[in-house]
Amino acid sequence: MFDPLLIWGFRLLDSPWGGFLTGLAVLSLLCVITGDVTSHLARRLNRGVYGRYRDEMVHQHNLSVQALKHSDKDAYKAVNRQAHEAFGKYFFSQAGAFTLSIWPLPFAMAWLDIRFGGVPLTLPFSVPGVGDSVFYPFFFLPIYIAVRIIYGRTMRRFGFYQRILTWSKHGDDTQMVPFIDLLKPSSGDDTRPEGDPSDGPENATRK
Amino acid sequence: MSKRFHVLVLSTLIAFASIVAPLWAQESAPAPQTEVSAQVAAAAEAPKAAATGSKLEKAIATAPVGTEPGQIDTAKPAGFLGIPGAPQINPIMALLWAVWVGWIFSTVGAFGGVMAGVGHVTVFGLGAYAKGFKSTAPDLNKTVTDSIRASNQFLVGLSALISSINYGKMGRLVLPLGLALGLGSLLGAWGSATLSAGKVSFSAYQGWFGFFVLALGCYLFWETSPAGQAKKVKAKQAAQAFEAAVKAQKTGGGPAPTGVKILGITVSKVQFTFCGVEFSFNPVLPVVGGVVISALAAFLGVGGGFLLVPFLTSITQLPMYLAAGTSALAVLVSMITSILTLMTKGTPVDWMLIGTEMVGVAIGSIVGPHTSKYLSDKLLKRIFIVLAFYVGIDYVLKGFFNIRVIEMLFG
Repeated sequence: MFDPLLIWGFRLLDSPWGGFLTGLAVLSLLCVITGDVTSHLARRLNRGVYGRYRDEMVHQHNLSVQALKHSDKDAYKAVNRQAHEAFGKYFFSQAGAFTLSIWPLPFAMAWLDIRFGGVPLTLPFSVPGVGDSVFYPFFFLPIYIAVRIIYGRTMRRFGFYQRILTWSKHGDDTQMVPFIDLLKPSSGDDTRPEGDPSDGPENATRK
Repeated sequence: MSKRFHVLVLSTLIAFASIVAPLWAQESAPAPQTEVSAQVAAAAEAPKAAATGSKLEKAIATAPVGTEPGQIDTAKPAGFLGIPGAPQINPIMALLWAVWVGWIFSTVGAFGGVMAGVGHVTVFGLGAYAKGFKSTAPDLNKTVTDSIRASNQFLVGLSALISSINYGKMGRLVLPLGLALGLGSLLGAWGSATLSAGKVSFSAYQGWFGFFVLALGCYLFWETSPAGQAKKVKAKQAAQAFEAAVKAQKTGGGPAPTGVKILGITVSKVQFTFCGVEFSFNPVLPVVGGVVISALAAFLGVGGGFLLVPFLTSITQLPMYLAAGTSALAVLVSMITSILTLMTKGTPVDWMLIGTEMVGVAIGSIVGPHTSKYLSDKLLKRIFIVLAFYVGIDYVLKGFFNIRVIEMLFG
């Protein structure tokens, strides 16, 4: 059913090699766009849950940095353990969202296998350890990765895409305190936090 | 973008290229190519039958033809991997099972890979099919086993990718440790996949997979036991106490010492203080840990990340901020290496099945967090302990002793 649509890109150029590489790029772009759309939808749908997981992870991490700032090893170990648990939850939730961004890839591979599987392609030069004969994934996977990176960087320049990113964003703006901060000379404030006692360490970097 | 990120991306691409390149090198001698361009054009013009790889074709060729178990029934339609008479995996069944895998993945975590394996082996009937060729066509038995392992790893290992990229962007990798662990992972995954590809019978794989599931079940059991819970509660209380102390501004004394101070480095021990807190670890352990965990993950076709993070935390006491990214890099290296090493050996992969399952895993992962609030973490773990013990014991007995639990219990 999708064959005419997918083969279209391969017939854009008359040159067999040009057509083949352009077709792979068009196919990659289709995969990236479809995956990106579904991934944003999923992130929007789950932004509440993802936000909670992320905020908990950031909170525990920042607390562990505080523990180190106080040279409290026991507190550090305990809080770090909590941070690991929170990270586990966040990690697995993000893995699911990531899967939604690459789901078209295996289907594209299946289609390419039907079209080009087993067709050896002779390179104009010999690659050490490889020779001069390769199969379609040799070109497809690097092209997919390149298209994905270029797509991500290009789209971020557009205002509407920035709005989409904001629309599907989760969690507050609190960032993890980098450990490199602990290497900086102490101002003396680290050991006795000032301000409202209700301010947790998670608010340290809150904008 | 940080310089570290560029270095990471560049090294990953180089590593990827060096591993990927041989994969699609022409292994078997093909017909001489004089008009390759014409072939590409011809392939674009006329659909052809799916090529399943020379290893599979050779394995099928050595299998006896007939209608009995352990024989290729050429009269039947092509099933898994295009093998005539092989189980036909219903795409709806594959999708639903994958939704279940994704749900577990997002609620319990570690059990997702196991369930993916159970799906391929038992639910889709690939295990019994592969086992049927144990004596009649050992090569086909081992090729299908390798395909199951690679499929499992595709489903569970890809999750490492996002972690590595994101943490790489944020500069949250301890590169020396990540490289040590990555080197160990590379060796472990490559060694395991190279040594075992085409050599592991389905029975042996099933037995070891069962053993691993049993060990996981025991770990989950310990976690929910009073002893395991007590440790967890103690850590939680300590964390809360510290948080309360910070809020009440009761912590601290004099100014905290800053920076890292190396106390001593030997072959077996690195000792340093970080903000006045003393840490030490054995520098050999990350490499050894990487080798062992990746070899195990590659052999069984599981992710390995859930083993690496606790390993890093307990051995190096590395903070979450750094352990997560560092282990993700190691898992990524391990996953790419083992999958590609398997594929270099001609292991066929059913891409349509992987794609369908990936959609299911994604749906399950999206639904999971919404439903888990109705089930306590402890109850979920207990459900999986029961499942782990059943699957583990069944697979060990079936794989190593050819005994079925159901038959043993009910005759």
